[in-house]
Order: sequence, then C-alpha cells, then structure tokens
Amino acid sequence: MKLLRQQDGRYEFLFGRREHHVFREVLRAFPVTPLEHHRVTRGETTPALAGAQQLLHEALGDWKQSARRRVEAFLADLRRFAPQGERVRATFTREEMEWLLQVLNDVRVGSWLQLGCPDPDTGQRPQLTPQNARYLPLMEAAGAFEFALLAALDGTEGVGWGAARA
Amino acid sequence: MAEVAVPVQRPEVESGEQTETQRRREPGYLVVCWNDPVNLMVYVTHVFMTVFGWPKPKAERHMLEVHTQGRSVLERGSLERAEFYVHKLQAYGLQATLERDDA
Repeated sequence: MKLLRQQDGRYEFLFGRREHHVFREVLRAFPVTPLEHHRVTRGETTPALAGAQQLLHEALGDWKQSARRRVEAFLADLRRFAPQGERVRATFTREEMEWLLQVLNDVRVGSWLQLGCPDPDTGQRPQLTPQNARYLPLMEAAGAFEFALLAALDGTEGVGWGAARA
Repeated sequence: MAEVAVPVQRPEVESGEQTETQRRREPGYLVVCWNDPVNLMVYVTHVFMTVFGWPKPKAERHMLEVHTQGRSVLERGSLERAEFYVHKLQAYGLQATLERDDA
C-alpha cells in the first residue's frame, strides 16, 4: 500500500493485487473486539460508574453497528478500487482515513484478544489454536495498513516496526 | 378586612434529574490511558492529537508516559467530560478509563 499523492485532503494509494485482497479481508472481519472488552473504569464501580459503563456499551455498540454498515457499503462500491494492470488504485478522504484507522484498530485489538493478549516484550507468544489461527495474520495485516495510513497522514515514512508498539 | 397576600418563599427543591445533571458536571474524575502491547506508538500519538487537538510534541509526551510508566492522565474534569473523552478514545481502541481523582 503506497501513497501516490495527497491533494486537497484526498489521499491516493496504490495497492498490489494480493495486498488489495488482504485489505478487503481485514475490513470484512470488522468488528472483532467484543463490547465486553470496553471497560469504563479499572477502579471501584460506584453507581455513577455503573451508569457510565452502560452508556459506554450503548455508545460503542451503536458506533460498531453503524461502522459495520459503512464497511459493507465501502466494500460494495466497485468504483472505489480502480484496477490498473496488476495493481489497484484507491482514493480516500481525510475523514475516511480516520474512520479506516478506527475500523482497522478494532480488528487489530480484537485479534490480539483472540490470541490470548500476547506480549513480545515479556516473551508471551500468541496462543495459537486451529480456531484462532486466522487472527494472527489479521492482527499483523491490520497493523501494517494502519501504519501506512498514519505515515500518509503524517507526511513521513513513520518509524520502524520494532519500536512501534505503545 | 381583606387579607394581605404574603409572598411565600418556597425552599428550592431540585428535581432528581437536576441533581444528577449537577453531579455529572462536578469535577473529580480523571481520564487515564493504560499501556498495552497491541496499539502502535504512532497510532496512540495520532489518536491523542485527533481527540484532544494536542500538538504532536504533547501527544508524544503522553504516549511515551503510557509506554514507560504504564499509564498517563490525559484529562481532569467532571464525569460528563471524562465520559466524553473515554468514549472517543475507546472508539479508537485505546485502553482509556475514567477514574476518581482522589488527589
């Protein structure tokens, strides 16, 4: 996924054919992060915070539903991805880039949860099973596409993968 | 003799709804972002810039605090305000919570 040009708030990218296929598969997987993952507090749950928890689940549930509908419309829009030989061109607005980042990161975080929350810094590897194996490439691919979008927004090449986790 | 109307002063009684609204607007909450091994550093910086409108150096400072200290306090304010930011940050997939400000 390579940024070709950025002009008037529109970002034109060139995808390899397989890359384009993977991009669509990652979007198709959304949503992956379950609502239960979204906790409003890590402290004691007071009545006020119990209400806040319910509100958070309602708000994020609505957001995910609406984003899912948008993903379906996005993938169904055949004019958006224009074949060019062995490659595919696509143009996104700034607002679409922001929305794509949220969708991709939901897939990344949800996949990480499915893999048992691995942490390479502590040597904790993904707990792979036949049931969750598909989440490893989903997590990595979502991160790679996020990285490309962020580098385009930032106008830089970004930073290396190794130091890229918070 | 006509009675003289005496204005009666009623005690101010707040409805439950007003009390709830006022309580939600009182200060006393923190918005905290917690470290995790999945969110990209550049992504966290971007989200802080987008959600809070911070310049990049401030966003990077808070991102590094999350990374090295395990958490960063991003905002102090009312429950209503803290909820607003927690909703935004969690829609981006960050582990952001609201906590009581006991300081």
